[in-house]
Amino acid sequence: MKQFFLSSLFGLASFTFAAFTFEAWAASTSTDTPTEPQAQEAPEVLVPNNQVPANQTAEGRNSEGAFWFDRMQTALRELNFSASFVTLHSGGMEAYRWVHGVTTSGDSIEIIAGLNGPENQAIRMNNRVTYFSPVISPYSLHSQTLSSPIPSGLYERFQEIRESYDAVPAGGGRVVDRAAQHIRLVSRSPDRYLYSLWIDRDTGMLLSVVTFSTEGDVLEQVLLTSINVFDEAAPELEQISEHWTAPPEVRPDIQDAEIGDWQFEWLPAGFQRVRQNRLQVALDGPVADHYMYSDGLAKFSVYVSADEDRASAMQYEGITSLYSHDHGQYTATVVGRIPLHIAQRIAASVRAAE
Amino acid sequence: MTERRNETLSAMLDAQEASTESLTDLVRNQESRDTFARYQLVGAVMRGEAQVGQAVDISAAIAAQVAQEPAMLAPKHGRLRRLQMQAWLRPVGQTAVAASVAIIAVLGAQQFMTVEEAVVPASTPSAGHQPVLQTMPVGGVMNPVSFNTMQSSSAQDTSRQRMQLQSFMVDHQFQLQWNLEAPVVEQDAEPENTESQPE
Repeated sequence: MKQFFLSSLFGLASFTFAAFTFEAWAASTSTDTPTEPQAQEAPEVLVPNNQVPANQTAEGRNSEGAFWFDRMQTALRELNFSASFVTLHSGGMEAYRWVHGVTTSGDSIEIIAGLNGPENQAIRMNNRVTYFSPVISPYSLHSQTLSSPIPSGLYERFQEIRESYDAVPAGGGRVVDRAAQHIRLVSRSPDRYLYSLWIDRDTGMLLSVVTFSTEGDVLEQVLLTSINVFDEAAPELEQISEHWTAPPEVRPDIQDAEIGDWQFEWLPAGFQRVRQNRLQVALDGPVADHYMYSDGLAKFSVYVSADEDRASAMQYEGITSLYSHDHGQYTATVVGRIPLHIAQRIAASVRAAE
Repeated sequence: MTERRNETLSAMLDAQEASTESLTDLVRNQESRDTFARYQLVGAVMRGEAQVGQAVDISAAIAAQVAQEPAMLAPKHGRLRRLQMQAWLRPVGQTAVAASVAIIAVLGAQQFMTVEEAVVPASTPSAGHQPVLQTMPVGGVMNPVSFNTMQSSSAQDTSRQRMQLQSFMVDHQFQLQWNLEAPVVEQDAEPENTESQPE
């Protein structure tokens, strides 16, 4: 069957590429590269295992890693660039165009558009993001980052994630035909995904992001396929800056009600609650108390639904995990890019306050 | 007026020139935005690009539609019906994964507004024919996707669970889009006040 053939082909491609990069990850000392051994001036460093607490050496490495991370963050916020990238994951492969610029009037405009299938795109104009898709009317949200395959945590300074991750410089290599610095974001506790970043040594631009499971398997890859950097914002961005009127702003369907008194007996270390509301879950879902947790990079939602609105017990395993734990009078549902067993543990720990 | 706008739309879609004024007008006008969405789809159909169930959006459209019309049980006949069935028979796991990974693709806003006309080809699947959710090993060598219900359940329960799964996945995605600020590292573990609302 044609479709089957195609998907296995994608699977194969993603697998080989994944295995390839993983070797680089697994190498214990590294001046390694994902493509060719083309050693840069990379320092010799040991790969920490993620249980090791920060020590003197780790801090030294961290400052170099933090330097590269912040350099990349600045590039994402300030650079005028036009790029395209592909994502590879278990669901297949997708291609995107990615444009960013700061216009003469000081507007930061970022566009990410899917290149295959129905035309999806998102435009961020400063702190307002508009999503376009053929199936629903365009809508805007107040948000500092555009939701895309590029993890939103990469748009913030390293200090936002330093409680939970070490940034470990891991040598250099050639990516998208550029000399690249490899940085590993290694979680301090063994309960969340790990990330590899490849950063352009010249411009600081992000060239590749690889997400690994706690076992070190590749879950998802983002790889730029072209990148052009300019002194000034592209002319079309200037036009958008002048003429843009964002579609109506929306927000989650928050109910005007007190949130229930739920207690979490266990949460993975380093996650902070960033939001809580009572809302109706999308697509006519149940009314639930929603909590958003973040460690700066990984994010998950906890929904607690009670009584007749109670969700069923279920689980879903993918790069995004979902687990619903039925506590009898209420159900706790955890969704996010965290390992399934962590979602299970969180959901099971939700208690009604006495 | 409307005619004229549609002409402009048509010109844009055919990659002809459109003046700045007419573009601004288009962007400002809700009706023409909706029309634009429909035209885009029409264009895709004419170019032979629109396959039912081809993309996450269409599946999402189905999900939204199902949410609105859970009781459509009587199957109709004919080719359109079969196409819809095929779309519906695809593993939903793929939809959910795609929904969680694919950008923009997101769907979270159906509860605010729906462009019904834009999703006509994929509408009203029959609840009576929903398959049991399949596991989806497609390409996912590293991390096979599985969906388990924890109790033995009837077909009706399964379809309800699947809708809930979609709801939570989509809602979480929407919550991610609404990214107000970086987490406050020094924050207390149990903050009392809720987040400030967007203006």
